[in-house]
Amino acid sequence: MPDFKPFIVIGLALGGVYAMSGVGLVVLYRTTGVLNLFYGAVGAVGSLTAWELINEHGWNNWLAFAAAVLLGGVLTLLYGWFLGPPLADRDPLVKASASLGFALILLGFMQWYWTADVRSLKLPTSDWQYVNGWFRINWTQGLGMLFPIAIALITVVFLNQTKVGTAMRALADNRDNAALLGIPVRKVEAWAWFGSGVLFGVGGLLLASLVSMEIAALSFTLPIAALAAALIGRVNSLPVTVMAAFVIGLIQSSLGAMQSVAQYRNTTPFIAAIIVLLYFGWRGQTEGRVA
Amino acid sequence: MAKGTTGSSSLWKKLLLLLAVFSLIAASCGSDDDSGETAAEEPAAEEPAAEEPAAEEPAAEEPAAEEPAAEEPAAEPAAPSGDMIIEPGACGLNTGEAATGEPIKLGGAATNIPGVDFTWIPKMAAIYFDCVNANGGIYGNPIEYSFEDGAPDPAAWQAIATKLVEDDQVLAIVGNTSLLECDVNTEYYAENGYSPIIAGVAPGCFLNDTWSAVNMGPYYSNLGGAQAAVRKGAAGKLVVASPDQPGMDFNNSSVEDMANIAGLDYEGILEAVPIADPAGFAQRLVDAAGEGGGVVLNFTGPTVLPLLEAISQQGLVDSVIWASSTPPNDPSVAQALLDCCGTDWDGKFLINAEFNVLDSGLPDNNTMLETHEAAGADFPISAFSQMGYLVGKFTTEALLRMGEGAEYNVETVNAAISSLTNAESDMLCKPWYFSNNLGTGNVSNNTDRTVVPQGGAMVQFEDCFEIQETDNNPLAAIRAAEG
Repeated sequence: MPDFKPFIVIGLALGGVYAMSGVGLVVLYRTTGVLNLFYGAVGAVGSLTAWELINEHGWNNWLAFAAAVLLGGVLTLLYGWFLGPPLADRDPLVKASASLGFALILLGFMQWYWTADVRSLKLPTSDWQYVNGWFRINWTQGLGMLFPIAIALITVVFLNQTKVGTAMRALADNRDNAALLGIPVRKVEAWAWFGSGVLFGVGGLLLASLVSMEIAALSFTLPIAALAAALIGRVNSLPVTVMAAFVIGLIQSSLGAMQSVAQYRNTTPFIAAIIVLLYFGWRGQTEGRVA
Repeated sequence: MAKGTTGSSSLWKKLLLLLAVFSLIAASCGSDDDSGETAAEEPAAEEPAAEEPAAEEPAAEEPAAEEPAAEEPAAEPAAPSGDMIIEPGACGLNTGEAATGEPIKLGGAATNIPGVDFTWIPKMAAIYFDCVNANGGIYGNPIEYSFEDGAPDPAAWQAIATKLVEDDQVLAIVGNTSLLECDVNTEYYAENGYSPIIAGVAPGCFLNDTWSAVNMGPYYSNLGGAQAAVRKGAAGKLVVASPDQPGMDFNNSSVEDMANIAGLDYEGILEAVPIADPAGFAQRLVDAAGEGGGVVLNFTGPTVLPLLEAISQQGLVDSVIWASSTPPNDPSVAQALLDCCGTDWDGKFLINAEFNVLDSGLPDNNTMLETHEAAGADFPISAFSQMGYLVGKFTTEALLRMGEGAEYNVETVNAAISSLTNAESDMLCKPWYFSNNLGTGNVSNNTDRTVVPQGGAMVQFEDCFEIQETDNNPLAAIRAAEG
């Protein structure tokens, strides 16, 4: 019987990072109708910028991390501000494809500017560890687990209790009606773009610290689990997205303990998303027939 | 209602499609993490010569090598054999005058896709050739060197070879470094009279006498890493992990041979790269090897670093003996390890080094660093730059040995390259030669060092040692021929 204990902590931390980006994806989609595929690249730009500010320009760590998160928000906001309106009435697939184009632009820039050098970004929280006979956890992993849950709760409260949040929900329901009701559509959307960008920035920093600073990996390969989680939540439900992200992280990590299937563990997000999407599709058809 | 349901179903189909597209992009962006070399087929093992001394016995009980000392010079330069025209650290004839005669046209090619950029090797060769041209060239004739880059597609590499040979009409193939070219173009180059001097990647690079590589490839480098782990006291089981790519099973098999010789259990692991959960993978490696076992990692620096960080964070550094093939022998890896993990890894990551440490302070190494900096190169210094430098230096040496006033054509230039022997550099443990024509493939670089990270630098841990001869590799026959 494999010893799953170390893999549980590792999996929950990984799942937490997926959840963070998943929350950003859901909030943005609900507000703007855009399934954002450049969230990983934005996180990568942020983490590489933080690395450069710390290692090349001697910035204070926390200041550099703040700059990285802010950069994530600003990049996402700029995209939404300039390209959001022209794409507003287009098919969701077109909007998603456009965001993929921006991801490829960012990827090209990163590979040109930062090249393939070896880098490491250590969050100060990784120095603080708690060890007992059962498990070992550092505070970056702890943050990875707790932060997304807190973010999801804050987001739910924000959407339900604040004026901007209510406006965002109105936009999600019907953009034209919301505009007729006098809701400042562009301003509200700007908040959604910026807020989700901030989450992508935080997610990028955690991913860079917990997993890797490889540019292509940060931009595409690793964040794909967040997309899978968001899709399982039907890009609508924050609790389901967060839960799906944790479950994906947990299963993916636990499979690593079983030598016979360990090499297939990276397919977990894909398989989970495909199963759920096929189920939704099947259920939709069934309901259609019943109707 | 029905319409709405159909729309919803259509949306989910689109999302499914989108996920598939995004997954494909993610997959294509993943680092191939080739360690610079691969091999898929078993090398033709020659019968070891009867008079060949017994292979170096791996001695698990042998005392571990001394702790490394960062300030110690890595090694003394090899004594000149007298055959070398190029002085240590010199660019060709080192006259200080630019060459203005008839150019000698050479060509190369390297794989370049996201995550795998082997162009660093021909780029460094080009920098060396520029330095040669500024210092008298080949008796006044400058070297005109250019290179192509390509994706790992057999048809593309056939086209590149055709272009170099038939369109560009280069006189020699120099510095090629490809994931698959040696398995594709061997016959073509041989038929056209070329003897490429390369950095070996694909299996064929080490399996036939058409090509000769200045490096030894991961099959042998893994073996060297396993030898170091066994000498350091790895017990019970040897585990090797490589990228999940074609040919890597073969590269892992050299560690299995070592485990058999040392009387240890063995497990080979292929892991998709980039590693999605380094902490989990680290735990898996330790579980597989067992307390006190040995683990050989066969990944590039950017891939192995997050893994080493995770190992450190999980408190697993001392659980097993950690070793590696060549690629992480890179000062930036040592510095990054110091940044991330303090002194956790000092002296504890045994990297098989196909070449000397990058800050050895010896003449060739210094020239490489100086010319690289002077050229404002857009790639970092690493083992790949050493490969490029050696390819450039040895090609120049072969051309110079043709003598002043020689006629330069495909036949004469390739004859000079393929007959090159006693080519010396302080980057290597012993002189290099193109081929012994045994029909086993060329593994002229078969004596390595072990280096370790120490205080932010890579320092020598073990001086030059012979890569283990096994029943499945031809090193015994090759060394017998070397005399």
